[in-house]
Amino acid sequence: MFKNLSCSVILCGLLLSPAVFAHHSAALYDFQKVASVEGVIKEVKVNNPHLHLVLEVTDEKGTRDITYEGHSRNNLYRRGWRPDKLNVGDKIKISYATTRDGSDGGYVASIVSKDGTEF
Amino acid sequence: MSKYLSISVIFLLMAVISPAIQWVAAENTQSAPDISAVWMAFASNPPGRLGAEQSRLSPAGEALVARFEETYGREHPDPGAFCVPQGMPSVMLALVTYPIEIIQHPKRVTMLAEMEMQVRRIYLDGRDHPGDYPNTRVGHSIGHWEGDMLIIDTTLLTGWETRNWPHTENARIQERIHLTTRDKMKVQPSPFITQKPLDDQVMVVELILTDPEIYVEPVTITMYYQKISDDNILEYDCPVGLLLDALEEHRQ
Repeated sequence: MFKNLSCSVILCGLLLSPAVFAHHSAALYDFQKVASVEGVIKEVKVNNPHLHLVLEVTDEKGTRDITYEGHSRNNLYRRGWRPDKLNVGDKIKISYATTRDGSDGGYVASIVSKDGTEF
Repeated sequence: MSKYLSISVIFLLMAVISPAIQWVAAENTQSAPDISAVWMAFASNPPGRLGAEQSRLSPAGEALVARFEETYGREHPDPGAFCVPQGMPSVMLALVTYPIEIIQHPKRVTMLAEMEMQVRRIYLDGRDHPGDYPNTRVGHSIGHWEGDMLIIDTTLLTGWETRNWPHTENARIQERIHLTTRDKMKVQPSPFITQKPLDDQVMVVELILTDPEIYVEPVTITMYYQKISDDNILEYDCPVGLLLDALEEHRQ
């Protein structure tokens, strides 16, 4: 499900919307290039205007904490997020627009929470 | 004597004209459609990324934006990241993302935009724009019904010198709002809409931004809104995050 992602309609529903560009620098993230990763939540703040998420991620570069940002609390709510869906210690999957300079982090497009809910 | 006569005539005219204006306003609202609902924009004309309209800027407009970007950088801090409302016209151009609740009254239409919790009060009681009102981000709006069409005139806007939709304090925005149905739409819905509409009704908002100081011609954007369930609109408690960050910095 999270392999070979492209900027599909559902995935990029908000990524390409004007409001996202109103809040985020198009220069910082490549909204046409979406990757995916699994990780354990170290920090999470589902706030407006942005989601703040720190995941402990393990990949070929090793294990480290990576910070992501994402949609507003209100938009996440409309996509199915609820207050009990993201907690520190949960193992989750995210898809995200990568950074343009290739550094760690990104803009979260969608999340599959511990219980399998996608938003 | 003539002085007292003139004053009497003025009072007489006021007594006659004032109720007449109110009667006309009331008559106009009797046939007005009901636009009270929670609306989400799901299509636009031009389609796609709204705001990329810099080509319509005049040389003076280009210079205004260039000056701002030379001063603060092209990737300058964005108001949304600091919970600062962008006001008009951006508040009406949130395609797919943020809903607007409209509360309709015979003498007032109130628009409650979720994004930055912006409120628009559109006076339908026949008043004019005030002469001593401060400029604000949503400006001062008056309107009237022409048959099924709500015409809104907005002015007294705060100037905005950068993307999106730069405008001066002399900008004027006219909106022409009417209801139609989905089968009569001539534009494609955005593929990104996820909420299901409550019915086939579509609210069309034609917005015309006139600001000859910085645009070569009036800019027209048409937004198409669908009704969504009223449990889809929330408080947008944006500034609390900034406060919590500030509190952390003061942690003893």
